[in-house]
Amino acid sequence: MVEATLDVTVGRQQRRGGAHGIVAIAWRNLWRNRRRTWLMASGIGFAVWMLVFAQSVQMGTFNVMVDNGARMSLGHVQVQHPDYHDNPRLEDLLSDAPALRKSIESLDGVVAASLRAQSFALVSAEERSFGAQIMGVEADREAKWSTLPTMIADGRYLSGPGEAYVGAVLARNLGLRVGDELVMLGTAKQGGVAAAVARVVGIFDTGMVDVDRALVQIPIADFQDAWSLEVDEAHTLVVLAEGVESSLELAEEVAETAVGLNTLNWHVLMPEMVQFIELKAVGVQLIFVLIAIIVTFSVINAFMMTVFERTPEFGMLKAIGMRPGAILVQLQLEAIWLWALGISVGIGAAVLLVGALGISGIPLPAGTEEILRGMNMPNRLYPGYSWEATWIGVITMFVGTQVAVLVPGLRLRRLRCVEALRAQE
Amino acid sequence: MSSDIVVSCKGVSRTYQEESVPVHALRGVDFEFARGEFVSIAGPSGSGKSTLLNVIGGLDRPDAGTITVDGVELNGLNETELSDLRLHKMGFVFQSYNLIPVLSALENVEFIMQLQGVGPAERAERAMSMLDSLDIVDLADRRPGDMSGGQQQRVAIARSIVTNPVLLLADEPSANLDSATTEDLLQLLRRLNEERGVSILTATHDPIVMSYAQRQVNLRDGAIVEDSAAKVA
Repeated sequence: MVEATLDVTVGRQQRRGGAHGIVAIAWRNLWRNRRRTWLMASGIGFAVWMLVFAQSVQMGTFNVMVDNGARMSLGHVQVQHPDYHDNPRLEDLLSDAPALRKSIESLDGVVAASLRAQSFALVSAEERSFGAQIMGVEADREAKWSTLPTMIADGRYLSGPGEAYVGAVLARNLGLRVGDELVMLGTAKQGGVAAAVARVVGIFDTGMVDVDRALVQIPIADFQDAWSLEVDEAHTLVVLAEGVESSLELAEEVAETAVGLNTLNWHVLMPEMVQFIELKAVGVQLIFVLIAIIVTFSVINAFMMTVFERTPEFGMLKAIGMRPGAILVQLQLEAIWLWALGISVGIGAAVLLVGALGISGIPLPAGTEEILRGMNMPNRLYPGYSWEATWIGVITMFVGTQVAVLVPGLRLRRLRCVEALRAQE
Repeated sequence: MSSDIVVSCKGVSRTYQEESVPVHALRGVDFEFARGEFVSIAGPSGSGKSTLLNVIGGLDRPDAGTITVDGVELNGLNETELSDLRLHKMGFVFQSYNLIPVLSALENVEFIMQLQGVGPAERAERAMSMLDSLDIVDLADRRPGDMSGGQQQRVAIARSIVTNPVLLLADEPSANLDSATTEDLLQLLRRLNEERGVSILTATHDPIVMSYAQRQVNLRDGAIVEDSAAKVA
């Protein structure tokens, strides 16, 4: 066996003492073949850029869609009675609702907040009747933030008691016009009959048949009166945040204020939207994975060439006493430098492009203005930088380059000095 | 075993398979090499001199026989232990110099001390001192690509002895050098041998190299046919 002078700490010394040396060597080795290095780094950069850019553009689109949903009716955050969301019963109310609204309004990041009370009822006009959702709203507040009051097909939005704002399909089904009377019959809080009569002052058209066929808005005071609610009772406090991205954090703050109540963020309020976003994100990530695999194989190929070309050098390193593991670490460091170079290029390009387009916007195809307006979408798309995509790209390419270097690197363990040194003769 | 013996080979054999044909590179070689000796192993191509150097250096394993270097028997060592033995007890000079191309001369000399875990200040001082003693300080910042063959070989020698190895193994060190440069190099090796007591074992078929060695061992067909032990100082 090896005598005492070769103590067992040699391996640790080699790793520790040579660490910064092989880091520098790895960096310099990267530039032994500049063209190959730039090609590999560009491949890594392209993969990261593609993911970040595509995800950022999608994120911009999703933000607009979520914001549209929030602004039309749902808000970014809602506060309800703890049982109301799962089983919306008339009796599950927020008590002292105006005071709650006031305390929520005082939070930073709250753009608007308004109270709503709602129930289903039979709505009639002359001889026709249909089921509909009656929503009592604070009209003056809703008019300030909700887009529904702006989607007027005929007439105007609510401005006083005894008025109704009716969906276009429901109005057509009932044969209603602005100025006609609408009778609402439902079940009041104590089980009695809730009855109200309102004059139609406006007909809205959202383009969403389900909404236009079933929604009637009336002033909340009229609703409270007809459905036997107290004047400080409501079913929902709807909160609008400054933006989609800040709304989740705001929801947490709202929850801390609305103790004992149920606070819902937009993920809960718009589950279909969440599914749609996740589905779209998977599509982009699938394309990224395919590109990442192609890039990984090209890096494997490049490192195979590197190991082949430098076989005598690795043989010499092994001969002078460098352990195979340390040689592999050196190759891994080269891969890390390559990865760092590649992701710097990719992230740099993505930040510049997304940043520029975030300011100027991406103009959507000419001729689609009408369609976009109908969907309440802007005619320019503003990408929002996706940090999630950045992390996914960075980590995936790190794993990819390390796997790529392991394939030829593991051959080094079997490298025999004599044969390696002979390879240059 | 006497502590003056650096290398001891007993019945060392090595057979290669080349295209299914066995090639007996070494046939039961017995050989001892004392501390402070400058020995050249000579012989025609295929005589087994490089193979003998390789098995002594732990770069290759014999099929039979035992090799002991500075009291350590190589047969029982695994690859990692052999690496550590080479790192701490041996210095290598290769035919093609084999410097690390991306490092300067100074960094090449420092590198092996980095592997040993020597601190930055000490290794820089020792490396510069070594370059100075070999009269190549002016090459310190040059990379191998900017040096002549003779200069590269001098740096390779500096790298091989900066760790004070018990044994310097040089395989055809003059193969790529002209006569004048070879003479310079050999004078350097002789000086290191005489002044620093470095034990040198070189495989060569160059008569100039042989003439500088104190002792010449001739190999033919994998066996020692002549050993001029009388020349040993």
